[in-house]
Amino acid sequence: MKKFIHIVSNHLLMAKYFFKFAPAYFLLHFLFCIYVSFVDMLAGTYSVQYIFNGLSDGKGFREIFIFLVFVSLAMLVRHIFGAVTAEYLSAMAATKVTAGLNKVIFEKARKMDLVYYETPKFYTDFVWAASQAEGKLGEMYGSWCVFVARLSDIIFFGGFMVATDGTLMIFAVVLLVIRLVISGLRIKKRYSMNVEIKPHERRRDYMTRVFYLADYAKEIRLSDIHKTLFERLKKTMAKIRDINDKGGKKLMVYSLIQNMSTEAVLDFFMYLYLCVKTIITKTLKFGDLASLTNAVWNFTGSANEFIRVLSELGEQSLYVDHFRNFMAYEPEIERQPGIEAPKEPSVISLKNVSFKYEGAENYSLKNINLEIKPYEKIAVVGYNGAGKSTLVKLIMRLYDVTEGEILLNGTNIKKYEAESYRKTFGSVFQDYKVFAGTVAENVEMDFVKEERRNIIEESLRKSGFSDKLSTLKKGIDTPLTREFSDEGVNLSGGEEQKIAISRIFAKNCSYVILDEPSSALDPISEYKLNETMITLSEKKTVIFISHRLSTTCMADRIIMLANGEIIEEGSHDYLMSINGKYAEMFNKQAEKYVV
Amino acid sequence: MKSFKNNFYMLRLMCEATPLRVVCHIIRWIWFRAGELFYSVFMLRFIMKAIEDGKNFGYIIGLLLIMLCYSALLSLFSSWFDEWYVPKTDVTIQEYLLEKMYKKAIECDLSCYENPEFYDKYTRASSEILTRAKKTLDNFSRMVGIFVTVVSSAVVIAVWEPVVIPFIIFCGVISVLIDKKRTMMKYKCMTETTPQRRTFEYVKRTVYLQDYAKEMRLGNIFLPMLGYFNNALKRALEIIHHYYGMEAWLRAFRELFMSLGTYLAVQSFIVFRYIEQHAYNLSDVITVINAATILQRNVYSFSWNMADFIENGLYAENLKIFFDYKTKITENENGIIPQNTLHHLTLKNVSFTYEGQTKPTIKNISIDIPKGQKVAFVGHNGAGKSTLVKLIMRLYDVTEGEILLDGRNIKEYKLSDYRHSFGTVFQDFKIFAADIDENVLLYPPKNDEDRKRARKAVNESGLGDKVDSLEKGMKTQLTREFDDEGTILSGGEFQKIAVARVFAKQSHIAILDEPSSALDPISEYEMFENMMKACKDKTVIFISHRLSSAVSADMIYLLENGEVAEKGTHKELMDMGGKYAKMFEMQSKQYREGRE
Repeated sequence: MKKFIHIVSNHLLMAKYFFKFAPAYFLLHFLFCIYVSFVDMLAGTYSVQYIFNGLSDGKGFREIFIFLVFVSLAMLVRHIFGAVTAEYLSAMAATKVTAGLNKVIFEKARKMDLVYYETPKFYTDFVWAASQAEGKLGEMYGSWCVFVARLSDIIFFGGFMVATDGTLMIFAVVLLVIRLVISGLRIKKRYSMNVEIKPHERRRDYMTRVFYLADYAKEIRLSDIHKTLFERLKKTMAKIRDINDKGGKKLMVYSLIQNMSTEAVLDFFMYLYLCVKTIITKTLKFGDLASLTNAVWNFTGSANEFIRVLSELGEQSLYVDHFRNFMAYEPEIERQPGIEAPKEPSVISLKNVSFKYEGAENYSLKNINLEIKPYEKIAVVGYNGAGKSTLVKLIMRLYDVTEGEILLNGTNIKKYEAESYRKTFGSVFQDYKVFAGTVAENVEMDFVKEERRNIIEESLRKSGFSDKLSTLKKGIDTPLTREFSDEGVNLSGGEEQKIAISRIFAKNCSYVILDEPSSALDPISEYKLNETMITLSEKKTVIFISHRLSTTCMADRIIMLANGEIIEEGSHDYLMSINGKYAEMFNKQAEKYVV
Repeated sequence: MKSFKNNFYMLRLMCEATPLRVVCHIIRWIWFRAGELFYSVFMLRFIMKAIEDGKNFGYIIGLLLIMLCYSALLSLFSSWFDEWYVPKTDVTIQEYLLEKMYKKAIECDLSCYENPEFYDKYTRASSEILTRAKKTLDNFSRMVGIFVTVVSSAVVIAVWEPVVIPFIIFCGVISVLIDKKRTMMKYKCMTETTPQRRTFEYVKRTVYLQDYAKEMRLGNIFLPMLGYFNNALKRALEIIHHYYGMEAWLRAFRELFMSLGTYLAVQSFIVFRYIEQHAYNLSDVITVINAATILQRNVYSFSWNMADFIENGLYAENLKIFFDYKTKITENENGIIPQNTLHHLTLKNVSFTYEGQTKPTIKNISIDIPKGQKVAFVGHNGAGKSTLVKLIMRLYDVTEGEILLDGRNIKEYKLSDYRHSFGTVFQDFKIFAADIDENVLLYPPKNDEDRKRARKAVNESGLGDKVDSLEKGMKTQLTREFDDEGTILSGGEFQKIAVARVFAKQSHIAILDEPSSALDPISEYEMFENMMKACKDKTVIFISHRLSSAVSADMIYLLENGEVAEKGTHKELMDMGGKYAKMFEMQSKQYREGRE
């Protein structure tokens, strides 16, 4: 019972969303479904009874003709009704509901803490689940319609049967019970088969991805790796076939019992009963017999589908649980109230900071103590996976520390409002993205106000984008990428990077964070970038991560990380003089340059 | 007509996989559709007639028993077919189609992936192939079932009332014509809203994909994105309003013919004939009227299914275009096989322009690479370095000029063997969901010798210790795609696997396209040393931004705008004091200062 209420409340929740975005369609279409079922009964069953009883009772043509006119008008109304709801309103509603629901989810998703995007388990449970909502809602609405339509069928056709001969009720109930019981068994079996098949299907889909994604194309052409993959595909498909084969045999038996007992045996007795009533007891008329055969046929079909849709509704409810979780989510970092962050560069201090990714075994950062003074230029270096990127993400409060605290100007950064705190940071990541907006929007990362346009152009100049900008007809209003329009411009990797760097210049920030922005650049561009960054950031605190140690010489202080801990710290000269890990790294890289 | 051809194309593909399934599927639908006819036309008629003729009850029980047998047979068939045979053969069809698809994908030129129009068709074809194949078969069989039912109910009607047949046909044809028009409008609406739907999808991606998550949180870029979303929504609703407004009226109009035409006219005509002209028995009336109702209902279904039929046809067309694609760089079966020795590679006046572009990416390049030479390509981003190596490996064919291997045009060689004479690491290398040794060899190891070679290669690329620390060693499954227990290595470690491929391959030319970009300085240094040691006896072509690695090359080519701007050894280029020298100076300045 509890389970039943849960399923109903889940569906009501989704129905509320649907109703909110397309109320007229929502109501009218259900009415339409009921009306259709009524007309089906009227034209397909009742009219047979009326006409034949009429004919055998010797009714006149006029009377029957008027009845037929009435029925065909009812049919006509049904189709005009259908044209309005099932065609026009449904097309409009599909778009409205999809867009409306998406907007609700967007609002929620963008407030979600970054951890949820970067931890695979959370990502599938929350973000991915949410992205499926529009499709699921459409599917659910379809099921509701079927539910309403088939339920009305059962009521109308069943009602007709009972009204004509009450005993038929027994047959109807027996039929429904048999179907319900066996369907329950089938659903259980199907479900367990699906669970078994899922991982194999995932493997199959991986293969499809490998063959159609451009990323893999080169390697596949240059090697025989496809032989390995084909072999795996064969094994995977054989496993799926095996599961279907074994489970299918059981399902076949269930289905056979169900069909034999209802469609064959039960129907036989029902018809036998009807014939007895017509011929021997003569309590049924000709028209009754004809219309009842028809009604039984429809009733059986509808009952089948009704039971199928019940199981669908149950399955859909499982998805709604995910959706509920998503909607109930409350971020810990994003959009939380807090005090305004100071605008001027202040001291950032990390006290005993440790950080562990959700679900990870090891700490990514261990017991970090660091004080960054205003206007200081800090370089963070270290091996792959030493925790460099995690460190800067913590400083920008994209994650919250697991242990310890980070202070800005002596106040724990959790006390500041995240948005105002982050406004003081300008950053370029290794994996920066350019959005499908205009050049100006991409620099401003917001709507562009008229008075900001000069600043944006100035920032683009500083990052060295001017040459390219002068070739663009619409200047800073040129749309980027071809996502929205064919007039959009696709920039090269280097040009995109310059746009990303302009973001820092356009932002009136106190701290600049650079996470290997130069890795994809050629030597000359890299050199220029470093020069600009240093000269233009005089009045800012800069933290940068780089593998190219030539850049790090410019820093006031170098932090060397290994396995999540600071192992060396100091100026370049100092670190070279102690001849530790940093010196080893530097010398190895420098070796070839100093011939 | 085109829809027919395309649908048949899809069906033919399925027939190639399992003909019996296709036949059974069609039989199933004919049987199911015609079942209604059996019950409410034939059985009912016989029973009624028996009652009219005053046959005894035993006869009627006999009839009912026939019906019982028929139903039992049908449920036997449907249980076997739906629950066991269909899921089983579905897998066979899937396997056949997927394999065909993959084989074609391998064969396609690399340039196809860079042609957005073709690629779009291909991705759609491949992402939908499994569901579409099923849909097409379902839809087609249903149409056949409907067709058979329509014809047989028309025959039943014609036996008693041939007069009404032309009338029914007339209404049916009009209905189908109107529906065709409706389908076209829906299709037009769909094509016209394509840009809007693309906008929706894009904005969705920016919200849901991890790639964009950081930037979304560090600024307000979401707001302009939402602006684009809302504008697209407004426009999409306008378009839908326009087309579906008209489409809805067409549907209402069609009903005039169907409800008033076939239902009212036919039924009252038959009732009229019975009452006024005593043309036939009551059992005849029931037969004809039920047949007319079934006929009408099936004409409706036919229209509905027609829309799906056209949609499936459009899909099949994409698939056909993909399967019929004529590969430009084909496997040259009779081609010569490159000798198993060191090679001499020559580029003569090579130019190359990407499809759809006007400016050549490579302009008139002539390079001679003698046996065993170590060559470095350096230059700005976008100077054409990666394109040049792709031309050498014949991933593209040159637009002008020629590339010679040991004095013969590379087009004369057997393609797969030619490509196998290279070992490669790309900047954007990929790791496959397979065991470590398979990932290194890029084929399943056949014998102990293969396994030893893979192991040796892994040691050389500096990953030996890591592999030893793994429980299953070389048999460790990489990535979690296939197995939740799979191992995920760090970016640097994955790169070492990619480099090990070059070591493992018994080729005489190694091509390295910035393989060390993701590595920290120590690993980079070790990797480079190892690579040079392992490739001692090979010809090596490498691309690098870090000029330190170019120093030891036998020959350095500085590319600029698709041309060779400078060439020579490190010493020669430094002495020349040109662009290379300037670049090198810039990079080394701080290292030298830092060391002092």
